[in-house]
Amino acid sequence: MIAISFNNIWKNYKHGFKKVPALSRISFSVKQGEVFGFLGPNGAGKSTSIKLLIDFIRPDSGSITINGLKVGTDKFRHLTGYLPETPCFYENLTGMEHLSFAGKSSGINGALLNKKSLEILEKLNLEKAGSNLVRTYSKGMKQRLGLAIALIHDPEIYILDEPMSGLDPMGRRLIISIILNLREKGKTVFFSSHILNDIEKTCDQIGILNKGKLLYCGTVENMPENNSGMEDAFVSLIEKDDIITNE
Amino acid sequence: MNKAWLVAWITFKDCMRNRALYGIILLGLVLFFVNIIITGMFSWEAGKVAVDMGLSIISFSGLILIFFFSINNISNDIYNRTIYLILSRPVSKAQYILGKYAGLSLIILISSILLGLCAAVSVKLSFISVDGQIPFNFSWSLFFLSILFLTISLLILMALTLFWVSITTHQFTAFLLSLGCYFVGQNMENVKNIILSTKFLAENSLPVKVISCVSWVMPNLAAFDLKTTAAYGLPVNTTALLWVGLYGISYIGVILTLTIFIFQRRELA
Amino acid sequence: MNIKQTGVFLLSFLCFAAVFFASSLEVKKNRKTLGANYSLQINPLPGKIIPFFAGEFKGLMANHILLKIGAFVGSDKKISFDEKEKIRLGLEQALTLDPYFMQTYLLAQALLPWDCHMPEEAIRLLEIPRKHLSWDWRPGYYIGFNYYYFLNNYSKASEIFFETAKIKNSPLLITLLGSRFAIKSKRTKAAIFLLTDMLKDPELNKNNRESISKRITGLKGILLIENGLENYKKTFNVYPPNLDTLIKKDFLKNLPPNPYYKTYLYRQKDGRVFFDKTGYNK
Repeated sequence: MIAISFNNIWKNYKHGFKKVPALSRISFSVKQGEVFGFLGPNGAGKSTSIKLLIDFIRPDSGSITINGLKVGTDKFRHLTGYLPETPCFYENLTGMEHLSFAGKSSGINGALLNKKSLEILEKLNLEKAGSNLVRTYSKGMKQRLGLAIALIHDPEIYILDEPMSGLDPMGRRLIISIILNLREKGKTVFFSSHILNDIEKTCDQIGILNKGKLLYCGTVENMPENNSGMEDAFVSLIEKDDIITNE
Repeated sequence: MNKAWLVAWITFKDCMRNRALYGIILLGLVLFFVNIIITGMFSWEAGKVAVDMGLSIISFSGLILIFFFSINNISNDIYNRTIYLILSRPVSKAQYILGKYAGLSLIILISSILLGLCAAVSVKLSFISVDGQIPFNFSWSLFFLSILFLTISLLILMALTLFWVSITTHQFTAFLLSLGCYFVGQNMENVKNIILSTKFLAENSLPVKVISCVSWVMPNLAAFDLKTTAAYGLPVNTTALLWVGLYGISYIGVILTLTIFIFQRRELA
Repeated sequence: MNIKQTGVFLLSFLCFAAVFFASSLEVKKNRKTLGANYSLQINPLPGKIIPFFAGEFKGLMANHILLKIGAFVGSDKKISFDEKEKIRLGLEQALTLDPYFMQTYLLAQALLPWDCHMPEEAIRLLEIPRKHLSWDWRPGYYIGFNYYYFLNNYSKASEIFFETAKIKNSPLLITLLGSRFAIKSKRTKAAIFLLTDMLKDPELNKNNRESISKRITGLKGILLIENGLENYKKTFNVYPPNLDTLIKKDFLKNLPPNPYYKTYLYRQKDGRVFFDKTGYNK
């Protein structure tokens, strides 16, 4: 079963009167239960792809489906948990209140919500900070709270935009273990990252984006020029593409 | 609509814990003390001064809450991407707009009630301090009625502000447009009357037609201003006031539906 | 948006729009025919406080208030008591905000003593431009007039006229009036003179014009009687016991009609003639 599929997506951004291409002819799919890593240099279009996936912006042409449901037409948010790039919260509310809002908006109420909230906060090392205002949270804590919000309603599909950003090594390890845990449960995880090490550890499939084009989609092992390590392979792939586009 | 209430509730809680809110309320309270002092200076018009100043302070605080506090709140939502928090859940844009409006309106309501009570106290005090010189025909029901209509006009402005923010998203532009709507709304009836009465312009000339069009699109906020009625204890036409109330509520409905319509078509880049 | 959502959306929009349209019509209709209560909005704050709220926009605010009053009064309706008070307050505010504006004090003089029956208020307000416009004789002239015509205070009137006459380029009329009002015997002539001059003002409205004409007629009657009285006094060294004696002894042809009362009232003690009991009983 296909969890996520991008079909011939094109997206341009308007800067004044100019049209700046953000994504060109993006097509790929993610199977259910798979962990898919989305990588590329800064400005490649990763965040744009994710925003298209979560229906914050609409593609100029092409379509996206989640579990067969058409994004933009059908309701799909009950199936997805989203973590934005730099999660922002209401500074005057507590972590628990955010979680409570997230849970209630997804249909979880009362005692069950309370139990789940405490469980998740504990899982993410936030149990002590739960009743403090978000204003007092560090960057790492905010990142973890964002993930907690994505986890609270136990969705099928997780869409994480740079989940490891701003975390210290302990935090990164925690997130990785959670992602692997989710895979064991049969959940689908789609995330973007810069950190090739983490991608290698967790992903079944990867997609490499550069300047709005999908350069490669497949397993880590099958990456071209992977002999000298993933990082070298990645860099050389990008550089080659840059040369081609500059010609 | 349960989800809209969720949004309203977190908006409300977030605002209530915002320290800026207390600054505004404190300003209101300080002004009431000033009101008592000023009223004491005018022994021949004390009652009218107290009533009018009290109502004006409620209105003024409400305006600050709308123009600075609310615009700031909504724009921050969009700029700081806290809106992602809400829209990534199964909450529609319509529910977001309605929830935001409800949450911020609740703040306005509480401010009106709190400051209204303070105004009532300061008015009562001023009556006592000047030997019970109550204005001819003053009634408390009129006083509270004018607070009600004042609040409705604030809610209309709030809806318009939400509308402008969702169109422009630039905080300052939204502020200017909302302020413009406020001035036009307050003065357009007056301007129309003056122009027609001075007979300077013919009834069917272009400027008069423009003003007539504007008077349909912009809310006639002067209709909700019952300060003079309350201060002088003038007679009140209940039916007319009911129509005015209906006018206000339906205008809010129209604006909110338009806002939702526009907001749904916007991209959250 | 699917069909159901579009349907809900469109339906609620149409409902709101329909109610809005209907209520808008009603509100517009009501506010046109509403009693004057709603059509003159003057901020009920005493004149002294208003400048604080106007800040640097005092002139604008003064103009605004003036326009409002002008528009309201221009409708030629009969003005109720509350409205008179509002007009007075509005004029006080406008004059406090901008004491130099001639329009304001002209309007104050046109409205307050005549339509609003508030001559003392008019005098009080006219003092503001009189203080500020030291080169303008009009405020003083109007004050003097109000003292004479409405308050029957001849001595105060003449005092004001004398002061006003000192202003450069003030019309000779004012000096004359000052001196004549000061002199008991010349007061009636001075009054006729002043009122006739007033009649020349093209801004005067119909009601005021009639009022002044009536007063002039009455004064001319008094003048006739006074002339007869003076001649009688010169001849007999006393004033006659009553006016009929004057006619009998041929110092007066016939008693002119008094437009204000059934007859003129005469006081033998000082030989004065009055329009009605108010002056007579003083």
